[in-house]
Amino acid sequence: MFSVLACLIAGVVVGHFARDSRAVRHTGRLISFAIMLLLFFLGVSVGQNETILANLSTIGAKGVLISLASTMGSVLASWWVYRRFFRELPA
Amino acid sequence: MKGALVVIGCFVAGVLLAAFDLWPQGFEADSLTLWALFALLFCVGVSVGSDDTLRRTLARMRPRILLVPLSTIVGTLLGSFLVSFAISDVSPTESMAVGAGFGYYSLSSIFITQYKGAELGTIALVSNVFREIFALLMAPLLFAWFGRLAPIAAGGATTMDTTLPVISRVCGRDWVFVAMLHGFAVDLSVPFLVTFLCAW
Repeated sequence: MFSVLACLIAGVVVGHFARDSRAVRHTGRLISFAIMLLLFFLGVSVGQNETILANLSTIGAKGVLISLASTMGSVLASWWVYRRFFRELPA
Repeated sequence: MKGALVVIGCFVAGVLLAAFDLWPQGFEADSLTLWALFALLFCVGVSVGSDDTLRRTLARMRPRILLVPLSTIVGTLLGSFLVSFAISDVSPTESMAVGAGFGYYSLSSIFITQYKGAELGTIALVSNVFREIFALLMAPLLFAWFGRLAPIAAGGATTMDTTLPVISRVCGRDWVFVAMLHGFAVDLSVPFLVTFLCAW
């Protein structure tokens, strides 16, 4: 948790002082690349886990159901909060 | 759409490589993931730090920000409570405990395995991994259908790290601090809520 915050804060400080540099404009592409890399590694750790692979059909279905219900529950709650409290803010 | 397919392709490639033992055994993906994550966070920090409009936006909406993690927590608990009646062998509180991982799969599945056994622990792992993947892949659609906060709400505890880059791209950099505060607050709630719901 602290290393996570340290990385972010270091990035903010560097970005703030380097905001006029041309290299800063390429961060978007770097971010996309890192996302792909992270998802690949996420796939590797799923593929390496025998327990998940063996019981993926039954256990997985339950997990996905709970996941969808909880995610959509919070999405709908946030939709209400957004319309009620945030809508007048500029896009 | 092309971007989403590339992302799914990366994930599936990882699963297949590891499942068919084509990925070197001794090679620890976890530590690589950590370094990729650090690099990612640094890049997100750079894009935030080089943006000037951020400070003004933050000053304008500070008190309301706390409503975002609150609605995520309440919505998740309600959704996982309701769906438990459609699933055999999973009680409402067990389902809510799984939901209360908010995508923080490593911590919540360890907690739940300890309190409730390996099966529910595995359900928690799949469920929360799925939440993170869902939040990553669906962010643009959720944004279009349910507004600017929806990708943040879906990300749950992961909006401080793994889903933060996607959120900054979809919702805009102005919302990165909302997402970070949201991730931080939801993150902190995970051990408390999971423990409470398992003991109930």
